Amino acid sequence: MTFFAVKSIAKRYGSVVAIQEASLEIKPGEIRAILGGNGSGKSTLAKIIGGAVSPDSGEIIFEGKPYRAASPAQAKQQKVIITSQELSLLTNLTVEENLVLPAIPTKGKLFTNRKEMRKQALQVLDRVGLSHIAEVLVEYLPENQKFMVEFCKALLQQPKLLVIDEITSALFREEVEIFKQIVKELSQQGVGILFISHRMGEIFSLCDSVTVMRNGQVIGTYNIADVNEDMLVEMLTGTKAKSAVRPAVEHIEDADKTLLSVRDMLLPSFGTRINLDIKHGEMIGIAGLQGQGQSEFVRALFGMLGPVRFRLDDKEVHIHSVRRAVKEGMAFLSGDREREGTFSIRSISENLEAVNTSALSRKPLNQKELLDSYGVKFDNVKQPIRTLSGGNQQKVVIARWTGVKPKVLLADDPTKGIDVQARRDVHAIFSDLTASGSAVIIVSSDDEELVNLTKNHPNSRVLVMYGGQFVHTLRGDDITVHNIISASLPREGVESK
Amino acid sequence: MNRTLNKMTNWTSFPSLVLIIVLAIVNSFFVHKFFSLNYASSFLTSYTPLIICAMAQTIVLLGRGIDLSIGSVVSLVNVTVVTLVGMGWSLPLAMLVGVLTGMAVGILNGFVIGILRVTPLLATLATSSIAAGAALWIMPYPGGSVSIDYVLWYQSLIFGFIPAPLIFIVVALLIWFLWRYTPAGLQLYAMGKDIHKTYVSGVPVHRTQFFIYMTSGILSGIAAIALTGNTGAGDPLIGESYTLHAVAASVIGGVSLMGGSGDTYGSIFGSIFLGLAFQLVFVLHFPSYYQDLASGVIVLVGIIGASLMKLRSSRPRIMSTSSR
Repeated sequence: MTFFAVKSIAKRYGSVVAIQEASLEIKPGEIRAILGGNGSGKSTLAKIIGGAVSPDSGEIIFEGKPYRAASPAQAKQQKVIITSQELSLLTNLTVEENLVLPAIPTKGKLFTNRKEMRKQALQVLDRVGLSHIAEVLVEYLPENQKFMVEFCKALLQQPKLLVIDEITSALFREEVEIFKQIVKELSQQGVGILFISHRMGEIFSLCDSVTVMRNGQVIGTYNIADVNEDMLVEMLTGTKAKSAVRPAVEHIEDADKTLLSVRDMLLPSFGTRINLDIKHGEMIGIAGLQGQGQSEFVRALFGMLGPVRFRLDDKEVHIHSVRRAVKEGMAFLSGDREREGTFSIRSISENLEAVNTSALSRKPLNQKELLDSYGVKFDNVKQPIRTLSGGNQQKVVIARWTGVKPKVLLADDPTKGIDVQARRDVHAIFSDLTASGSAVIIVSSDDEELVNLTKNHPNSRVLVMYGGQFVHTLRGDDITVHNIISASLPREGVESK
Repeated sequence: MNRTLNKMTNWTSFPSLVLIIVLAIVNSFFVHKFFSLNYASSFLTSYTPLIICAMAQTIVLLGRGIDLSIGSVVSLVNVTVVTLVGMGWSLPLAMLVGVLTGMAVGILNGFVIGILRVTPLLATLATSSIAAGAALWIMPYPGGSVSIDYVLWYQSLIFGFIPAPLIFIVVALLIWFLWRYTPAGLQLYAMGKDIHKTYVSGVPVHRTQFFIYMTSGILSGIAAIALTGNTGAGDPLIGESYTLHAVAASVIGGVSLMGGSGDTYGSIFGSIFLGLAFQLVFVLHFPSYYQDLASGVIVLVGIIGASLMKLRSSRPRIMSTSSR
């Protein structure tokens, strides 16, 4: 009996082909990675399986029978559960309310059974070590916990087939381990798992097999033992992978001059004060365990946490609003595209100009050239940005900022949910930016990314944060994943507040 | 204790409660025996219809919709009941038909919005016009009357201390509880925040939308029955002002126009606030020509005040990554 098979599924949106032709089959208990670049059709495939999008043609077989889901509710009835990269959580409800929303427990068939709700929620939250957040509004959760809750929400529905779309990109190491453990348990219970991810390490440590998609087509399916990372990247891109960071630029003007000098800047939620000097052309990686003040630091610099003062380019600046920060040449790139990145229903063109013409009243950019140079795949600049894949959307947002030539680019987990090739492209853009004399400060929950980005860069540092303070600085050959991890861990003398 | 206090001040309806207290104190200087059961009773007699209309609007607003037909439904039900009584129907039966009429308009709204997926603003504007037209068709001029017994009962104190209009509010509250304490309530708040995410979570959002507007229609009908007790007669234009005032009362009561935030107690407080303000205009002897102007200004000031207070109490939380 076929457990789950997708046969010749196709889907187009107007003139844009999302999936040209996709077929795949998995066995019960199999953990299958779906790997694909921007716009490869993998997210669309997930949505089709989950009943949120209906395919133009093709069929799906589930447990030996044709499977049809005209709505997410119907898919759920058949125990086909999807976790979404965009998250299906309602921020005005508590964690427990969100968890049970797909099937709210009742008493007497009418009234909501709050006790049972709590019980179910705790059961699943306990497994991920988050039982203390059951009553918290999702609005107040940090990004990584939201993704864990999204995962829990899927777990609670007792899936037979679980599609996990980009969940780990926002998670921190320890959570990824918990997540992997649970996925393995599910697999032992015979649950089929489709795991959409960009993190090679996870794919190799978790999955049994991998299906590679490119441009809306399945390129091939392989046993994980038969492939290695380079092979996969090659299949993904159709070309040999480019080296992550371009060769060091020989000479940067003013390389010795301080660009940004921060003195006693307050991080409100920690009550700590930050000092930092950054030179022209520096690439600064910010690392640390989850929630040690990394995000607050870049947000504080951008004036999002209240007025701040610092020295920028030999000038004392007083940032009392984000607008002021932008005017002074600061740029902020968030990994939370939906909330802090794109204007989803507006056009690519408007998204691109949001800072340049709207905030700074400068002359319009050469949009086509800019987008092409970043390899953004698009029909025309007037289409809404939400019609692009996640990676392409992020590239547009990056272009929005680089187009205005910022002095300092602040990035908070900017490559979250972006595929390997696009991630390398983004890294190259950052490198180019530092080569032109700007500084880049990047926070990342992925230590490997920080290493790739800073290791071969001539002017780079990785600053490790703990409890709202910089506790370690790594340079040159010291920048390794191992060193970052060991510097991140709390130890004697560094007390958690 | 501190925690209770915190919870209290974070309550979406809290600002409107403060507004009421302030306004009540102001009113007490101008109104003879303001703090008395008699005054409370007569106040409720006048403003119960508004309170119930605001409760109807609140349920719709929570689901990120809007019901512009509330006022017209009130007029339609009012003239329907009075006309039926004029034709010799018994009052309870006429009232039942009245409420069913309100429900019918609600079902029409629910069908057009939930099933045919027309924007609430347009759909209810159209049905509002239909209901208003039907009211004028049934009764072109104010007239008719219901039995004086009903009017006297409506204005009376049950057991000597329960104002009769309270019964209507309790019924409306029971309908609210039917939402709040069933899965539908959670779905309502979820939908108000993000209909797509709610849909993806497997909630039958279109069915929920249907029931939202149906509920609004029923509540508007109940409001009209109360109003009929207050006026004792039929008037095809009597409900006109209720649509705007119901939205205003909800907003003043902390219900978000963007959906998913607020509760019905806020709409009750908001209505009481508006009622107190209108009373103030009345006792200050404004010329009657300016009363519309004055009440419009009150509505605007009330809404602005509520929005400002909301802004203060819930600063945008920009930090998205903090683990504590």
